[in-house]
Amino acid sequence: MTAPAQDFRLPNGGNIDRSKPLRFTFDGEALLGLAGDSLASALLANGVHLVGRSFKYHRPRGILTHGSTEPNALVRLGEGEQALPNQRATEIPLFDGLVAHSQNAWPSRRHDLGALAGGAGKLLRAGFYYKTFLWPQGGWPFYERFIRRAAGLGRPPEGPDPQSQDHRHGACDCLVIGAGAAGLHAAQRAVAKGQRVILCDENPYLGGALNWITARIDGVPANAWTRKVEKELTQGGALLLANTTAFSHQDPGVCFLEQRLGPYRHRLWKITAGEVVLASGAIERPLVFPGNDRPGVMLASSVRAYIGHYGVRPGTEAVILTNNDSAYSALRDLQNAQIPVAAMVDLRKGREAPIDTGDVPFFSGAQVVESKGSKRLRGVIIQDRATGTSTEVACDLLCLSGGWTPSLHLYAQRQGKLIFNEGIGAHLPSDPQAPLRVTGAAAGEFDLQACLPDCDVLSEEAIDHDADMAAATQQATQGKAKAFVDFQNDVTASDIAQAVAEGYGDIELVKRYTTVGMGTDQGKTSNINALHLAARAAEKSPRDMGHTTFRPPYTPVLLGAIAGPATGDSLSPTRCTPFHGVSRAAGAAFVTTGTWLYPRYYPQKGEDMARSISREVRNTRENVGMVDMSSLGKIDVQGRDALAFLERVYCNNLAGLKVGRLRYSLMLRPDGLLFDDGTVARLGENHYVVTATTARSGAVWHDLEKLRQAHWPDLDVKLTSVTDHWASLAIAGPKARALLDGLAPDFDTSNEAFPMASLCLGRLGDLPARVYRVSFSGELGYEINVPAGYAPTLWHRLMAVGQPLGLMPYGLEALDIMRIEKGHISVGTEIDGRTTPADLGLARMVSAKKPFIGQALLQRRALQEKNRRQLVGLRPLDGITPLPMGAHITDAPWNGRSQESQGYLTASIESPTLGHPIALALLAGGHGRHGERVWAVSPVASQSVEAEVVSPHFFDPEGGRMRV
Amino acid sequence: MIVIPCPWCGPRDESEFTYGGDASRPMPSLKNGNDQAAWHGFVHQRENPKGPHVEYWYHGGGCERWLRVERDTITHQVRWASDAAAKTEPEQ
Repeated sequence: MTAPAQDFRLPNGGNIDRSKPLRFTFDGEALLGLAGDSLASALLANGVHLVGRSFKYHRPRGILTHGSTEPNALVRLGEGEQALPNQRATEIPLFDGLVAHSQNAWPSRRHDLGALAGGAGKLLRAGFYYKTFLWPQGGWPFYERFIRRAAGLGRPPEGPDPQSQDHRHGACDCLVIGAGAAGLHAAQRAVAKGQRVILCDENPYLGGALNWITARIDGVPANAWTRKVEKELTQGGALLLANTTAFSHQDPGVCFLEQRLGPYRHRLWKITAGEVVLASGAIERPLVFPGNDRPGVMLASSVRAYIGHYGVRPGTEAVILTNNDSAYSALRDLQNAQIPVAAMVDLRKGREAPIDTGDVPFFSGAQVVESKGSKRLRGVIIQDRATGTSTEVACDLLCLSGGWTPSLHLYAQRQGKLIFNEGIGAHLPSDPQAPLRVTGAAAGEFDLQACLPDCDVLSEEAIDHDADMAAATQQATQGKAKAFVDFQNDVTASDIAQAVAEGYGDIELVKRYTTVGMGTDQGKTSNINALHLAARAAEKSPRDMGHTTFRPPYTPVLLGAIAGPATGDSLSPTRCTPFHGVSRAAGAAFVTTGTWLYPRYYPQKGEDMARSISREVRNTRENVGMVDMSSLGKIDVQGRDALAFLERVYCNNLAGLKVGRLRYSLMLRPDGLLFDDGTVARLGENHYVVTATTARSGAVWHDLEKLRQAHWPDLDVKLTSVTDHWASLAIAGPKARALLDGLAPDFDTSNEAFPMASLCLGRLGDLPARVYRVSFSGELGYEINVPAGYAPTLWHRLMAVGQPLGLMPYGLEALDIMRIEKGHISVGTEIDGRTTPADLGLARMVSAKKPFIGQALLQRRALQEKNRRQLVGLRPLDGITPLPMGAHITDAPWNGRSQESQGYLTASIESPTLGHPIALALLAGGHGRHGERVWAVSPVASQSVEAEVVSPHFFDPEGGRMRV
Repeated sequence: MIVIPCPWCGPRDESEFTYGGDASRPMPSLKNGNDQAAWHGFVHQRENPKGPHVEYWYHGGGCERWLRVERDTITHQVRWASDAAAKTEPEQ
């Protein structure tokens, strides 16, 4: 395949590598560029100026800038899963095989049907979405379909990111942001002081404009000097990061950087710096006039970059329009590149050209009032501001310079105060020292020699960058055609004037009403122009307008870079219990609960989830089952004051707990609401082990340690987390005793020797074990704890002994069903941060004989009211219809209107034991309402089921089965 | 970023710590278990100061001690940190 020649590549010059051609396609067209090109410069080298359509009016747009400030040249880079929308062509380093597409155009960027919106401009003026589509009432859903289709910019990638994005931390004494002249100088000084330095720049190259201006520094061309300094800095130990944007700096000494490692792979840096130096330069502003957005309109400084850095001819005949001196350097560069200049237009009246313009027609005190062409600029009409005389000049390149805006985003993010400067027409740091050092053009210093005080600089660049903003805003309001302020959001000068006229004159309101500066470029090229136009319309000084708030990020950050490698399974650590291997071998299906990967159920051949769970429940109720309980938090409590400590943190009485016994216990929060439940087991005189629920074990540990260390340091008590030390397996069912007997024949399991709520320390055969007689399922049950390493041995031995007894493992689902059948409470459902012990029918557990955490606020009147939501059971009246999950309880079926909720379901199952659906619910005044009929309604599922309020203890309410 | 000068481990990054809330109010004594006003103040009444603030931090990635730390809520600068058991702020 042959690609077209790069017809618009200058014969020589530029910092590209002419020996390395790179192939790429744009909208399917095969093109050729060079190593060192950006996508934008490569397109320009091929004469491609039309790169996309504008957001609102679908106007043909070209490349305006040469870097991160670009509002127009947004492309979709790559295809499929890898595709990245809204990438700035000016910032994408060209690579071989690059594929890019234009955006916001259909069927193509050359023939776009959306451009019809341009004709409907009246409808789309400032604030249109606040005014239109309001009539008829209820018409919005109709309009919305069309608006949704038209809204938004770019399409998201088509699948999960195939790349692994990266995170890195860095530390240095001095972080320099921006590697132009001032940044290089700051880095040099810091390295000379022996500091560890990180220097970053958003461009693929360091040196900024030094790469293309014709200055000489210390006797060598500026770009050669830059390469020399880069080498010196590296040798001095500095870390130089190109393609790296510092996008957030809010806290002292902390900066976030996004480094583009490749087109699709980014790295997020968190850098801790002793000092941050901001050398981020200044942004050239475009000028606002009717028709100022045609492809071929470009910032003067960008024209210089394309000629000098990329060796590209951005046009064949140029006009320059300026309100300041800096653009005259563009005239010189164009002439040096032998690009004809048809006119040099200076908005300022009675000004002599600061350089010899030669035979270029010079218009002083003139403005541009109209542009010609559609998909490419063909000419402009120049008008003398005093006489009104017009001249039409043919050109395909218009170089704009509307003055310079110091780039102070990070300074302002760090809460640095800005002060308006009349000369440059933009803001400067009110104090360049605080809260971080600002240097170079960012601090308003445009003199290269001043930026490089240690060097001998020979430069013809303009030192004075003062801009005539009065002339610029006057020009903006000439003529009828649209004069664009914000190219990305299609905001015009008349939109700004309209916002002010309608009373939205505050600059923050101008922004929100017109959307100026709200695009992905965040108004880098438009905010200051909008400020001046709003000030003009409001007849105020720009100084009194203030400025909009600078918020991170400085430029858009890849969401994947923020996520970094922490995606999917790597999002958080996965904890497996000591039984994980044997459970997996037993065919368990796992589920993630919190950080744990937990056996959910153990399907047998041909079983689905529901059948498996139902079998596990029935088998446990009829024979014997076993369940992994290892994720329960276990805290070892020892010391002379162990009991005193536990008495304070649990609301129930523990003083009577004898050695060898355990007790179900409740922990309250200081505000009196339930925090957690678990068992307190007394192993010795001053030795206890308490359990915390899986979900709360971390929080319980933190809280207990805080109480012990910070509040009660006088107590002699030590806490040790032993969660990972012990593997716990609960066996439950009528044959549980037979199973334990089979496992350890010399172990006395009789009810007399080993009653309910007692424990036994010792050995099961040759396994060291702690056995607790407890039951969560309501069956005769034992919890066997062995040191974690013995978990598989215990499992295998139980399975061998238990086979004739019908032993089967059961998972989390069966465990949950059995506790619901018993009306046992659980964290996250009934213990939901709003319930008290009394609400859940556990009032008698709360001790009145001792002080404990939560005691005072538990007595608040609101927590004592009779009509609080209280735990009840529900049974469908027809005995068969399942009660909808999450349903609310009302006195009538769902009728589409709002109803008063009397409470809600916390759990709903079809009970395999009882053979019908049951539910637990928190119902207003529920304890006194057993026998009443209510409705469980789910507007989401459009379901209403009539139910009877019953006791939450559905199965074996006296608990006889677990005491046998 | 917050660097906390742990009295046991030296200056350490905030990522090793867990925030534990306001430490400016002492917890009421449990002996006055029915003193609702005191507990209401402790649980619900919080200053939201702009500037220095004494708060608890748990050094879970280090010595596993709870610390009292004075942090400036504007600048994140930490003036001192002491073991929570010490109760009083250290000599400057």
